[in-house]
Amino acid sequence: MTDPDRPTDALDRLTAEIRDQRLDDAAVAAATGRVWARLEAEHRAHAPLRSCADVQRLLPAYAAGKLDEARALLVGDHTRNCVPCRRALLELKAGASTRVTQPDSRSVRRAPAWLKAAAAVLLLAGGSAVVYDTVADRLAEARLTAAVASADGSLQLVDDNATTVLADGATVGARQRLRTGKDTGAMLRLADGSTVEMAPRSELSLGASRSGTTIALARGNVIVHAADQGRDRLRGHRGLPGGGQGHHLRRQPRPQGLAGVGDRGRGRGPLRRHREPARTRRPGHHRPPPARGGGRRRDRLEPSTPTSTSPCCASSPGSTTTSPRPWTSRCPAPRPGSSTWRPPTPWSTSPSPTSPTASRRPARSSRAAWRTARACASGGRRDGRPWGRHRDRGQPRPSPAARRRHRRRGRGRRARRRRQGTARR
Amino acid sequence: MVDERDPEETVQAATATPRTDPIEWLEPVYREHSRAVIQAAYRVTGNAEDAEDVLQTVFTRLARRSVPPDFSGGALPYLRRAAVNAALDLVQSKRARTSVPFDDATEAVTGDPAPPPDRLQHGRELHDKLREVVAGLSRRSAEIFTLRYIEGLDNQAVAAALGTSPGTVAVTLHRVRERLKTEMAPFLGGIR
Repeated sequence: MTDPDRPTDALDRLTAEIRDQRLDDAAVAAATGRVWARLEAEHRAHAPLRSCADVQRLLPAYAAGKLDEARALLVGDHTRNCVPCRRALLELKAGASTRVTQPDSRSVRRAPAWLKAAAAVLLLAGGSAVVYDTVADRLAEARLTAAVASADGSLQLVDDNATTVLADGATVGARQRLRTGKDTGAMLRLADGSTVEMAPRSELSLGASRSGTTIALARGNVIVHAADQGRDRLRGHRGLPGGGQGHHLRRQPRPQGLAGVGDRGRGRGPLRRHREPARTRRPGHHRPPPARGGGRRRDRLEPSTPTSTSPCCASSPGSTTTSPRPWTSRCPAPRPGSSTWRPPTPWSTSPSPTSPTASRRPARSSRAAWRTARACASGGRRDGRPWGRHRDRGQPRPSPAARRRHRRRGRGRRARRRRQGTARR
Repeated sequence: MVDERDPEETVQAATATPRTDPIEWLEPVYREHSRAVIQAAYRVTGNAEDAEDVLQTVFTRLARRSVPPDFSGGALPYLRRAAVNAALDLVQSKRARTSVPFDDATEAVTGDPAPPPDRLQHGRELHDKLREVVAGLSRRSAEIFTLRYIEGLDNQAVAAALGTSPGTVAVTLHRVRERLKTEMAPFLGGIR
């Protein structure tokens, strides 16, 4: 029995009463709900800033000055060090300022009437020029015709849908692709008298504009013999793209309007430039083939001067020789010793080195063509460069002084060995 | 679908792998033990509002921890001890301000069914006096007394919760009871 009046029993009774005290469920549920809501709010407000996204979420409150001091210090320090967050803050502030200061429509300056009229005139003139150029180009293309003068084998007209074999005398228009077969050579004659000789495995198409005729060579090689176009066309050719004011045309009494476009991307020889840069002009040496991957090049051709894309059939000044089948006759593919080999006939007027007068050196003006022809005749390398020790190594030929020094040193070494008795046999 | 796992296992699984967001691992712990925490706080403070403050204090401290505490021995003993300490802090601070808590949770008290009003008022005063005397003890002694007599744990459990021996707990309880009997004698009848 416990006596309530005894302190020990009274203490136990008090502790038991306190131990049995309970909050009712409704009060507990309400209290726990409120506490959890406050916990979440505090967590959101004091969540650790782990990334720029966390900082940028606080930027509106930071810009509005609603963050507490600690948070504002953190955000401000981060925006001073982080470029994207600083930019976001500036954009936020700029957006706020633009919303505050709307531009006044009355303050917009209007352009004067005379300026509008001048702009309209300029636009009209430019549009007229464009229309005139377009119409002129279309008319030139419609007038362009070429006839197949001779076809040795299969000359094909390639279309997107079919391939047609062309015979002698067939007519070809602009933007039509012509292709020669493996052993096929062909000659086209344009309406102005110019001739285009196609090598085997070549493909080209003709184009025309008010500035002249264009040969677009997709692959292979061609020899172009441009016809005389007349004096009237000279003025029309001035200011051509790639030709400038036509400075090389002025040296010729009657330039023509035939231009060729070579595709350098195929790795085959493009149309030769009539004038090479001074640093690449080396008498007696072939110009190396251009590097792969080059862009399209446009060359102005000269009348009465055959121009070839083949390195073995380079043009030589002053030559006017043409033949119905110049490709096979001027650039023989067979090597010396074969049954089908024929002596080459270079375009130069100098004699061929394989002819009985081969010991005579050609004139200096045609020495390059002479060496080219000699390389072709002797079965030169594929790129047309002659065989040789230094050529094979890709090194320049030593100068005469260097060669003399080399011989002198060799004589010195041999004399020294003779004196020492160690001469080589 | 009802989760048939033990709530304690759920809490341990929730706190086994620390997550980056503390609110994620804290939510299941709160859902399981918030009622026990607020009831323990109410027994120590005798005030519903103070109990709510204690509940928020306990879980706010948990949320600010970078890593969750070790709940290997169970979350409830840890939280009960945390609630008792927080409640004792609150009562001690009020005692230091010499303020008398006004127990307005009369309707929430479900202890004695329909006691007489004079007895009820006298009982409240005694309860408050006992709480005040307990808050005047040392923290260790007050904690042991509260866990043993208010929360109803035995000496073994109290010793395990505090990391001490049951003998130490028994000695401490004996000394505390002697002191309480001395200080509560004028209110409990009979002065020795």
